[in-house]
Amino acid sequence: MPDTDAELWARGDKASFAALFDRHAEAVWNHAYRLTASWSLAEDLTSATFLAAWRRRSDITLVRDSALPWLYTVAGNLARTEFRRLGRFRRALRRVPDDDVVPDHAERVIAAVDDDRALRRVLDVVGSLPKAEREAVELCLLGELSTAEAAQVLGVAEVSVRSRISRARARLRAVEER
Amino acid sequence: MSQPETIVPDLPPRRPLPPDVRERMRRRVVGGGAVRTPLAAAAAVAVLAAGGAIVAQSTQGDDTIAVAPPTTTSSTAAPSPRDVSVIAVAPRATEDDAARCGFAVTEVRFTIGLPGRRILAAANDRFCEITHTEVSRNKPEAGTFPLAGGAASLLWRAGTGVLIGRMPAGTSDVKLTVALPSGGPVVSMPVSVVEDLFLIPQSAVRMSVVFTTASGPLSGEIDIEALPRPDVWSQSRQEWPPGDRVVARCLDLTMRDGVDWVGDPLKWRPGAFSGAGVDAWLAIHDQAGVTAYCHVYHGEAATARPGDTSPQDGALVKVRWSDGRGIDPTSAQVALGGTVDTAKVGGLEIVDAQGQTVPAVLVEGTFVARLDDQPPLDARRGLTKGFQIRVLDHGNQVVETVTLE
Repeated sequence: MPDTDAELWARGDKASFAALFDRHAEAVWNHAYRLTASWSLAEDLTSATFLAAWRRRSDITLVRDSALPWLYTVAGNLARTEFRRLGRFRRALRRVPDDDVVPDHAERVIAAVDDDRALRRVLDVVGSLPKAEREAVELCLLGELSTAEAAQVLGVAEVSVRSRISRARARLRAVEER
Repeated sequence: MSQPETIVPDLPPRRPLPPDVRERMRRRVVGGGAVRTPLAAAAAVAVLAAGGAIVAQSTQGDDTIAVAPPTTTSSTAAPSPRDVSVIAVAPRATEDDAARCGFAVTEVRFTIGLPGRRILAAANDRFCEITHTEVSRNKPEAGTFPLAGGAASLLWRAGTGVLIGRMPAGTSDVKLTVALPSGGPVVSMPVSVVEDLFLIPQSAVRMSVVFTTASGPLSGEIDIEALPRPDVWSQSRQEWPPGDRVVARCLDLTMRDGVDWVGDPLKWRPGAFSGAGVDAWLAIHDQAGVTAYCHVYHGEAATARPGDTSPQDGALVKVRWSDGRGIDPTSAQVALGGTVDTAKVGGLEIVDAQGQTVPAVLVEGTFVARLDDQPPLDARRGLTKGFQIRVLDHGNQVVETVTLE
């Protein structure tokens, strides 16, 4: 019988992992979209995040018994690592014309929305932030985790996370006001 | 879980995860069936046809994802859970299968068995897939799609997502990888080979395939979104088995995961249903004491989870399953189900840790209840710890109160 994330995680078997996937897939998928501005890319990134979670399950200590902060961190790391390595991810985002949303599978399934343009603008700024601010933004603003959770998963004091977000927020507001 | 003080400007709202996207990711991530010993990475594929028996082999490489999680010790190689692949190949087809597909038995080259489905490969690149509730055939007139510079081709994407292609002549090895957003190779995917065909049971949105041939490697990119839509490439019809359609659909999707507890799907009947909502649950039972709990997502049947099979042992009520969903970090849903002694129990009331009381629905000895507005899933030990079940007799009197641990 499924219990907390920590208990499922500790069990480490396939059924427990499947339960964790079912529990958090939607949240990670939405977070992945906020990291990529593409539902297609979000699908691949979500899959890769859970695959990575499965591989590293024995190495991980969950924060507050919840797998979600760590899954968000993995998703961010994957997107960032790939971005740093090849730079193609960012180019792919830029390649998408603002007035022509990429017609991916998910967007055929659910109603298309016009969020992508604004999100790409935000991601442009997020991508240019210093690493510490970017991580805090991804977890707290894009992922909507609490600053306490972000602090634990990042290994810093909560006040540091608040400070990083405060600085980043100013830049994001500036983007919004353009 | 407290919320940040502000949100990002123009941050798009969260969306419900469409069931087909969930299912596709789930197959890719969790796979199906019992975990088998992983095949050697990049194992050579070969097909042996000896004495009429066709043997298919699959390749499944090791993951190559680069991850830097915040709390790690050392990297530990672990078997990947992705495990949906060809499980059997038989020459020809049964008369019934051939008839359902509109093929003559003699036209069918072989039947490929995968979890929860069979694919018939007939002459002239005609294919047909049979599941518990659907039959679909390819439309050869939709054409094939060149791959690896035309040396290979994609022939069909079946209704369940299995992608079928033809390998270059003289292929001795096939490797399939999925590209992350950057396009870089990330993870090897299962690919099975049967005679001159390759099958990709779990398709990612974008994949890279490399064929090893005598003249060297040939590679190609597969973009699922660039392929024809299902209605262009396939003609499908639903073939409902006898009985309840939600149960049939739920078991159909569940069997595709390769589970081993369904047995004969025709034995299963509907039980209690939690009621309408984005996430609803239907208890089902096999008329022999085994229960499962079918997720009904946005009104559509999704997959089922098996219930605990321990004996009732004289208990008035037995919780056999529970689940929690935490789409919004600030709240969650908890559902639970089980069985009751129908001779003595006329009703159940579930009281959660906050004192909210929800009546459980009882049908054919099964019950299920869904409780909304629950604390975040990570905020307590055990989904149902502290819950109470009030057991009512047929006169609506409380005869027992069970506290869940």
